[in-house]
Amino acid sequence: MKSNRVILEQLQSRFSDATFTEQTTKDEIFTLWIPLDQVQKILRYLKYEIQSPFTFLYDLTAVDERTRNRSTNHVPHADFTLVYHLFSYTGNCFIRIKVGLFGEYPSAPSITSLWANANWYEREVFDLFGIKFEGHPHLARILMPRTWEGHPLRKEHPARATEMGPFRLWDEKEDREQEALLFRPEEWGLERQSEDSDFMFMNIGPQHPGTHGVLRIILQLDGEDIVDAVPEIGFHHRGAEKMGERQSWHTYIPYTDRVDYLGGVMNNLAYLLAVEKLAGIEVPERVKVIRVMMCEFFRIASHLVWYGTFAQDLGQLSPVFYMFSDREKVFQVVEAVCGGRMHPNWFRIGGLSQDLPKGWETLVQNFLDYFPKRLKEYDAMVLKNSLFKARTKGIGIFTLEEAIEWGVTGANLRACGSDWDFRKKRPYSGYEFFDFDIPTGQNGDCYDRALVRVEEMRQSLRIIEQCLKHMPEGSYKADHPLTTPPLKKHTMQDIETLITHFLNVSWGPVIPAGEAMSCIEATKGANSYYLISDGNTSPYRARIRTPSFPHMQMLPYITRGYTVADLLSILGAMDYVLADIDR
Amino acid sequence: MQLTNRKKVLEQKPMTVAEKMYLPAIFNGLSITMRHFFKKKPTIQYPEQTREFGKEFRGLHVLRRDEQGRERCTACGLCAVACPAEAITMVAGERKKGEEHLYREEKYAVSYEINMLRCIFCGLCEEACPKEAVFLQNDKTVPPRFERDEFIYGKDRLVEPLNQANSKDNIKYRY
Ligand code: SF4
Ligand code: SF4
Repeated sequence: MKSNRVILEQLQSRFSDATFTEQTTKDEIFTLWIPLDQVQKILRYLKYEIQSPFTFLYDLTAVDERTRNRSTNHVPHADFTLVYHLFSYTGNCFIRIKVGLFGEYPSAPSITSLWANANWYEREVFDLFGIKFEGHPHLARILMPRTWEGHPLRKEHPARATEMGPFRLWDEKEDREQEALLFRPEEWGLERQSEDSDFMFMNIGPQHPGTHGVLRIILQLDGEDIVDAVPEIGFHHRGAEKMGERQSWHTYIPYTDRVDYLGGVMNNLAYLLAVEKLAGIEVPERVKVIRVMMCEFFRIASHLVWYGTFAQDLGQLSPVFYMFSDREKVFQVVEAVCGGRMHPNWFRIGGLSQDLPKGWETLVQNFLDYFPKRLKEYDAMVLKNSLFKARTKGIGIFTLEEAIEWGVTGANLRACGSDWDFRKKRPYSGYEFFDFDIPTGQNGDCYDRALVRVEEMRQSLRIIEQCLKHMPEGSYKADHPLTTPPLKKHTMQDIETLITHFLNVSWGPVIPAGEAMSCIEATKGANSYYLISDGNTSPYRARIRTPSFPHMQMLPYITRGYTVADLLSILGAMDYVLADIDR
Repeated sequence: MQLTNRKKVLEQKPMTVAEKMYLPAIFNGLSITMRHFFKKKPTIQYPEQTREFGKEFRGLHVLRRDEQGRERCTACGLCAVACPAEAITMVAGERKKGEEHLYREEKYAVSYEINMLRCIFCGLCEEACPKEAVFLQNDKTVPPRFERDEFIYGKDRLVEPLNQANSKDNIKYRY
């Protein structure tokens, strides 16, 4: 790993006229403020020229700084900040580049020419903050409806429906909405005809079993062949990031459950790792191992849903039923441990909500005994089936370079031959103590993506088995003043502790000012929470980087030239969840 | 070959001629499906049958009474502020003389409502309650209804019946 010093020196010698301001953050990611007029140049340098280049645009977002409490934090003054998170695979390190913007509706140069996946990220920033990007090919709203007024993540935008007055749909407004819904191919960048034929336009979704959720894909077809495909997202947008700004640090946990709703506690973990970095909490070993165990259970549950629905998309109707009943077996364990099923809301700041229940070992052991046999049967049923092979082999191929360019992570990346798994490369929550392999593919097609995920389930079983065998003793909560809620035996003993409890529950904990980002290998790829605290009872900004968003963005690129039937293989193999895309 | 902690390359072989005939694949698949016909069915005939819930399951709320049958809730409102879905509303009242056998504390909840359509059964209210009054039961769920207001559970449906006070062994101190 290269030290931050070296990066800064290289930058300074190359851009001697620019001023770089360093900012210290809680997550030890090198954070640098750069001047607005040199953004493109500096980012280009970081991507192509610097040693161990930052080839991966991990995340791009913005922060509305106008109401931030500055007394607690030494950050340069700006009205808005653009935040670029870059990642270097060769150096295994992140860098956070910040650009300060001034004015009510500022603009910044677009970097879509630098990274293919910057396109949607910039549209998202435009949609939610009203920041314009000069040179962007299609700067339109992406998550909110086109007729929406205002930009939701700006601080002046209300966070609740009740602050906006009752909803009314008068005639004029209805006409306007209807008008906006009219389909004009030009608005989506689609031609109506080519030299020798008229194109056909077809909607897949928003309600279509093959889209696995509310997603609309506009297909431009020449006969059966896909000329272009434009995904329209945002139907599932619930403003999870905006809600983060009004919930307390503690009561935001149930909201995270719902981001990747197949990932359950995995979302809690991504959020809490960031909070714990901010608060400086080190959790006990036992907590780490329990967290890992439950996360791996959810990885299996999520992969089972993907497996079944993928097979179903390709015409195999029975596997999905068997797999869902196996997922029920996972949920039996989850329910016995967490009390909930898909939305367990079980991890807490500094620990867990409860200790493992009595008899958990038997439950887990039963599952470990039961599941491998089933995986074998599924292999015979799905993976070895030649019809399945015929419809997935050689379909939806992308190379490793393309994958990195588009910000692909998780199993989709590993199917291209990379063995990049954040659990291994940047271990968190004690993954470094576990023995497991990283399955990789070679061809980067739909079939390899399937192979990788199936093998991942086996590896998850291995991890769970190790958790079972080596569960450490100890407390299920950290002994730290910010652990929320604290162990009950420490509260409500006398009036003093009762008052602490009241404050803790009503306001929630006050997390010290700072910034931190977590990064975990979630079920679908790299998932991050980038949290900013200005020393208050709720986050000043909660940014959720989800893996499905860039994956979906890549869809047009990988479907062109295939047929509609192949599109369903590609969608199925991608393994996305709409809630994860739209947040 | 035992691989540990390493990258594991998954092989992809080209399809053989036999595989390209597809018909065997169909029969293979069908035979597996047929085998499942004769296995035990995992289907539960809801609502006639219901599933066993785990011990920790977070279901319908109950407002508990103490050993002498008095309501434990003191209308402090902590559950309401802890609730991420803002599902709980209550009105507090002063206990009058002669009501000591009804309410344990001097202040009590005159009305206490949980909107089950808002509630996400996260259990944070239970975690917050200093009086161990509100609990999520592990054997009951909110039954389906037709009208929205039927989902607003008042004290009549939340407070545990007198004769069952403290008898339930399904309620344990979760946190
Ligand atoms: S249920 Fe508990 S937390 Fe809620 S008002 Fe009553 S005593 Fe307070
Ligand atoms: S279970 Fe959660 S959502 Fe439901 S009332 Fe309690 S705190 Fe609110």
